[in-house]
Amino acid sequence: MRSKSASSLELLQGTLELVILRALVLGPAHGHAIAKHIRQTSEDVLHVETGSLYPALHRLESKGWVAASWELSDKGKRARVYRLTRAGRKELSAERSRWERFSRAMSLLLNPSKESLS
Amino acid sequence: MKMLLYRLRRLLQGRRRDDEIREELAFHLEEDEADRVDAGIGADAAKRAARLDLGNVTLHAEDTRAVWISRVIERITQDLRYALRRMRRSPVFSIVAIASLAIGIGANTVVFSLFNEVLLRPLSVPDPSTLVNLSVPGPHYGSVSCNQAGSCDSVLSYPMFRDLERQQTVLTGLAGYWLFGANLAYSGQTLSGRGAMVSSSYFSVLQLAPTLGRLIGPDDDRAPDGTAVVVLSYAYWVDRFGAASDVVGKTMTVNGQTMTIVGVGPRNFSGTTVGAPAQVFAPITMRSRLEPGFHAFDDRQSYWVYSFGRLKPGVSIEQARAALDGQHHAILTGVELPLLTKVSDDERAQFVARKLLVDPGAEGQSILHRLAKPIVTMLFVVTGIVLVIACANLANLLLARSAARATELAVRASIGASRRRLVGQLLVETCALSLLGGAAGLVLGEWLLAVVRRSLTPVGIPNIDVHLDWRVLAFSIGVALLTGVIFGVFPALHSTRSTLASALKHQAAQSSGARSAARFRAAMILAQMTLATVLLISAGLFARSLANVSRIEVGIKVDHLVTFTIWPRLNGYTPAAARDLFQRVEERLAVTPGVERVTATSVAIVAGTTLGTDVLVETSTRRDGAASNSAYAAVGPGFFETVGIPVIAGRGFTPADRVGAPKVAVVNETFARKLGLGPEIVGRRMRRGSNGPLDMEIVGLVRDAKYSNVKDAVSAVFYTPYRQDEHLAGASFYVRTPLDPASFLKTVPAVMTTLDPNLPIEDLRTMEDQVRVNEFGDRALVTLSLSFALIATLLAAIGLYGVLAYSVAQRTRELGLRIALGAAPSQVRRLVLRSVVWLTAIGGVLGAGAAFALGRTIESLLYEMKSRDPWVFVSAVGVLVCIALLAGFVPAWRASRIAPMAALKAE
Repeated sequence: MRSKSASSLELLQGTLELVILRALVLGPAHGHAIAKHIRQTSEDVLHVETGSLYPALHRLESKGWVAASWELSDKGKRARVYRLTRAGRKELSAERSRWERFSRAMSLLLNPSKESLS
Repeated sequence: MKMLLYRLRRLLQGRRRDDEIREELAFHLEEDEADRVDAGIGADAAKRAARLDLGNVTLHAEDTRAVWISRVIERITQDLRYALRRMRRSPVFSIVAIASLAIGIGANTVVFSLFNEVLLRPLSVPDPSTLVNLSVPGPHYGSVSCNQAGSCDSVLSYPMFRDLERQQTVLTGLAGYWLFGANLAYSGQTLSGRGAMVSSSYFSVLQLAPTLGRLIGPDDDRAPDGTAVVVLSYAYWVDRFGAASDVVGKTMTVNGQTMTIVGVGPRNFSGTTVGAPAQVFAPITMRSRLEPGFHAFDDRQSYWVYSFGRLKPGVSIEQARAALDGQHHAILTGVELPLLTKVSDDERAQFVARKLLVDPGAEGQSILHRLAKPIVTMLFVVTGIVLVIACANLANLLLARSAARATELAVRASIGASRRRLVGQLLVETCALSLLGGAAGLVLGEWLLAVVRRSLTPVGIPNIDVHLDWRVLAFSIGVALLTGVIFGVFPALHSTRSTLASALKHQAAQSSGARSAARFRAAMILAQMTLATVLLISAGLFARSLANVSRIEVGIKVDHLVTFTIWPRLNGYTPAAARDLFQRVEERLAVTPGVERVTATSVAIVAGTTLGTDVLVETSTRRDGAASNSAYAAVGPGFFETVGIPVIAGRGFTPADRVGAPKVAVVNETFARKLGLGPEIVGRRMRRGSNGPLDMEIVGLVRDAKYSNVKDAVSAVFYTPYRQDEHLAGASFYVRTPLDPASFLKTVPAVMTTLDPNLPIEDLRTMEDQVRVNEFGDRALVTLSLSFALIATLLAAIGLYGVLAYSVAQRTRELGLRIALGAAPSQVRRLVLRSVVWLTAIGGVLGAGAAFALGRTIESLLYEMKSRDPWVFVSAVGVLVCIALLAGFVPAWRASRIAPMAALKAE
């Protein structure tokens, strides 16, 4: 669609949903706020495409991990606000530990300690 | 119901979801824009940047919605798998439901397809709805020829047709035609077939274009005898000529005339008459050459032209009726009335008062329309009833099951399944059931159709090209689906509303809701029993009627008799050569081993043909003689002896009665009675036709025998020796053999080949088969209505069985308790069977009442009997009771075998 600034990265396949769930732990939020939160928290490295964000949100909703409702935003506009469900919370912790094991494994592979090399 | 619709809408709320997604994206855009403005970018630039960042909104909306759609599909497949698993787990339920639906849907579709083909299907020509058929009911004077293309009211005289054709202003054109039996010879092989002789306007009125070459055109029918050109029908061209593209310009022989093939008609077109497709089309003016002996192009009292036209754009059928009737009336009074000299003033008034009728002609013209209508309509009603019974079965089964599943649903609801999800799943289940039933119905329908086709072909009934009609199939499956939704989903929806606790309680103890459901099921069974009784009674009536028909004395000895027909004049024989051939056939067959006697006649016995003429006979009471109309047949020597018609007085014919010998005739009893000949019949003089001398002597009196149809009353008939007849186009032969007549059938073609290998042999069959063919309509009606009645009864019995089995299962505890308290097995059986007896008795009485009231409508289809035959009523109800008791016995027996302890522990 358009060129990206070199500093921003695409999220890995499958991690977007995890990131969204994590963002919602802080409290209910609408789509734009979620995207902004991800960008700011990742220090502007991770950008969420609108074209991926909303399908992902709706996918999470259809699986019952988040619930959506129409609420008035602080500016008085109708906004679709997502909140984490109990099932979503469970999914988040499962997914998080899976990710942590994965990233630990990756860093072990990429930065091998001496013992493992010898 | 409202609730149900609301649920369904929620399930399919694609539209609303779309709007929501768009609103969500719009909000995102605004937020983004506001952020950018906050960051210090100008309002316009912010807007642009935000929009650019968002990208293609429609695409995003699509992607987001797709999430939901794929989710729905995923759920449906999941539900479907679950549904199939459930079906496998309760095979009896599934088989009964699917089989019931299959029978209902299959039978219904086949009958409607027939109905559609015979009565409803429009001709495959452009804009068939603007076609109109002409007919003129009322008295005719002179000769009337009519055939498969319609009743004898439909034919016009050739001059009248041409007069109307010249005048018409409300039609784009008026077409006339005549169907004829044709001996078609090409490259040395002659086959019998059918053709249409058509006016040059025929194809242009139908707005058809040739596949090859040209069609019959304006130059082809200018003058009598016409141009010897022929157009092949598409089907004939493919069958006989292998769709050869070089066929135009070749010649073929039609009825002995060499004709040039000028073209091939359009695909799917073989004339305008259902059941009588034409293989060739020739100019109407060729009739004098194609049908030896015909020369009535100028005769206003010879009626034979069938005609139809096409309304001009903007002309209504009423306007056409008024205009054409006016023109017709003017010709009647101005030209035709003066020709009527010998009729009374009354009859003249009646003749002039005849109206020309203009009727919608989208389906073409065919006697099948009139003949088949009552039969097919009857069958349609019957199969409709079968479908209703099948759906009632499905409803009952689903109701019983949803009651049984109340607990399951309540449990699932309590652990978090949404009602929408449960309803969706039930929908999928019933749809799967209905669709499987529909698929099985389709298979059954194809099979039934093959049976119908097979039973039609050997009796020479019409090449009706029947295919399953997809619209009806869809309709029947739709009815089944609706039944499934109403009876499968609605009660389940109701039960999901109840709480888990109450559902579990209901399961343990019978609730008032269950009692009302039981009442509903009983009412359903009652309705099935009633309808089954109606069908059984009507089938019984038809069966008795057929028994009456088959008891009819044909008046000849039908056993050990073989018949066949040849038409040598259609193969170019002169009248003298044809007569010669008939004699040689008689002589050759007479010396063939296995032949006892052989004879010929110009009118085949009970083959539906009638030849009639005016006669005058001298009597003792009236000096000027008694005039009447009589049927006749020209027959060979030894005719009466061979076919077995007893000669009461005088003699039959001998080989001495030939050309040159004194003209003689033999009459039947009805003839003698009708003309008031008194006791002295032999020796009187008579003549045929309305003038001339009394040139024939009656030499014999024979017993009455059926002439044209088995069911018709015997008409007055006189017989003459064919060897004295000048014009005989064809003859039917009768061979009496002491051998098995079926095995003798092979001998005939072998003998005929030695006489003329090119002559097609038609209607070669045993006389017993000929009688059966003549009774075909009655037989078909009995077979079909009896099978449908039995199917309906069987379905009702299956339904009864299902409900009883279910109620016994439900009452296990109660029944076990009764047994524990000392009830004898027979008492328990009686307890269960009591409801069967009640339901059946009430259903039987209601059905009999309905049949009693409706009997009138089928009386016209019955032969010599009333529709209120007590015998039939009693036996129909008897059959119903037997089958119902049989269906009830298994559950009753099972109930009596309940082990009390097990029953009490079960819950």
